[in-house]
Amino acid sequence: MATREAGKKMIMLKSPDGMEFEVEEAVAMESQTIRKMIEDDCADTAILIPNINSKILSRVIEYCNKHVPTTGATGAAASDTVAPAALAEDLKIWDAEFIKVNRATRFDLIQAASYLNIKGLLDLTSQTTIDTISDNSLEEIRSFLSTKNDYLPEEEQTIRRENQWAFQ
Amino acid sequence: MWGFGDFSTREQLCANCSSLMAEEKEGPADAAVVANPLHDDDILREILLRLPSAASLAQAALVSGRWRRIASDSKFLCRFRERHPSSPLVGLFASDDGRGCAPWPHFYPALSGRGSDPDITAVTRKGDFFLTRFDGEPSLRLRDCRNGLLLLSLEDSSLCIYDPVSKRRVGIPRRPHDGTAGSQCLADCLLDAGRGTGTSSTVRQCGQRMMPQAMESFRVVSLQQQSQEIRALVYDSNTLEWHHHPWVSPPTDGIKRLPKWGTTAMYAAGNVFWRCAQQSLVLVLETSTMEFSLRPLPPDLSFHVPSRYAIGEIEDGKGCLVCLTGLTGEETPTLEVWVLDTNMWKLHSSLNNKLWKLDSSEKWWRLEKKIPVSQLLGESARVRQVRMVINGLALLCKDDHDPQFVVDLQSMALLAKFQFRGYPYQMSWPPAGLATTNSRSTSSLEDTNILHQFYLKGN
Repeated sequence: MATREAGKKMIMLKSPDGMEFEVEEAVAMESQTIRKMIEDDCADTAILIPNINSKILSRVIEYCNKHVPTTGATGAAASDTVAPAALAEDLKIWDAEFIKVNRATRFDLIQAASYLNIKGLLDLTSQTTIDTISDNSLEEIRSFLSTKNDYLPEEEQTIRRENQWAFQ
Repeated sequence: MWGFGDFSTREQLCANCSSLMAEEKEGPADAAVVANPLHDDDILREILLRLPSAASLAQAALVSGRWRRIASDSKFLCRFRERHPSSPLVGLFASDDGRGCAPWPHFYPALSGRGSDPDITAVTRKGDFFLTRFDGEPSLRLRDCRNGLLLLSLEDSSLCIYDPVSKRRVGIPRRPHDGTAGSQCLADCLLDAGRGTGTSSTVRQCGQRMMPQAMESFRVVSLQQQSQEIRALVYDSNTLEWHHHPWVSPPTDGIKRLPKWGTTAMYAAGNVFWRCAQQSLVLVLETSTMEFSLRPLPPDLSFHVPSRYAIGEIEDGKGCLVCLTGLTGEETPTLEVWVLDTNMWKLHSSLNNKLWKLDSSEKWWRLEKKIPVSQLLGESARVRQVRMVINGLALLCKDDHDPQFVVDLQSMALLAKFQFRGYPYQMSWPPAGLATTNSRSTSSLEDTNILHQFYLKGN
């Protein structure tokens, strides 16, 4: 885990409910959205992250902290002692713990990951939804994911006829 | 292209972080407040992009009209294909009974191995792989199979294209008689719609790649031979007509015999290839110009046995040569994948065909992968032939009567083993229900066109 050292640039992230989080620039830059802002010199002072409350934002930061590459500016010193495979395994276990959250939190995390453009977090948070889509029948997908079937009856008939294989 | 972190989002964030804290803008950022993230198109798109296969995508597209619209958008399909460059293998259509006789095309499903995809199982179960629509056609033969479509010949020697998944059939009229006696039809190749043949506007680009199109856009190239001359007949789905190209004598520099046309046609990147007895050359028909030429194989590769290599596509529009080396002596048997640089190739063919030299092949072929056969197929497996390379798959076997191994060239993994020879059947890309649609309205219009064609030309 990265420790705060002198000389490391810090960034202030603010949630709309008024909480402030001080994070290392490298950690914040796990988000492609924030990275772009920093690179475009838009981030001199605190960055307000709209639509993501402090509870979710703190979890997102927790994720980024864990996933920021440990080989920092000083070179490969930190990871030399641990084999990369063991490190990846450790991360996998950590991810599995991290995602043990209720459905509402998971949905909030999906939104946050997508809004902040954090690829790994989006992969992780959307996996359950992906499994739901690929393992269930159409009616089950619709009911599990609260998605309406907005096909017109005749449209659905045509689609059913042409895609019989997909109706289990 | 990523939908997130682009202008609307960034502008808003920048506005917030500067001291110009203007009032909240209305706009796309508000959409992120919805309770179910799947109601946001951008998020749904990212999730659909992560589905395991094209089969799952095709099924997801049936959930609702909105899902279908997102899944059939051509930009989305491009991104999906970048993440999933291999089409799922469904099985194999036997086209050869091992005695050189073409049988009725029987289907053998790829037995579900590791992490089998339930959607592919559904494809196998519900598709018409027994070709029941052709019951009562004892002389039905499989002439080619590409991207989920079968090119079949019927008793009256007419051809048709059939998609066993969507059960759509498109008839092709009989090749017109031109009074040439004694000419023999040697090979029929089912190709993508042509580039640079005047139909390019109907072919969608996907970055550097071509987006293959489904049933409504294809060409069939048939080859006829008469004594030592050959010619190409091309059927284009855009014109609905056969076009005769003139009889030519193929270049025969140093070649004593013409290749066995019928059994060994190979297709990659707009070219049809035939192996030659001449070890370092391959005979090529460029389908944009319909001209034949002899081209060199990769440098330092000389195949005393032509069956040691095959040419095909490793991904859409990207040609490659797959070969076995190190089969003699103490060397380690190795599978090599050479990629064809078509730009270089075209540059050379735009010069005079006669100008190329053997050493220029270095510029065309680039060794991309190399793997010991034992690592790929296990210590005990022995292979001596590359039978076919097609759409990211290579078919390897020891001998004509031995089982065939199907290898995925992207992941370099063994996918399946079949006792029979034939064409691997992969799900079509884009999936039948999602092909060529940019919006719902064009989709139904094109569907109608296809049906129209079907009723007009099928029977």
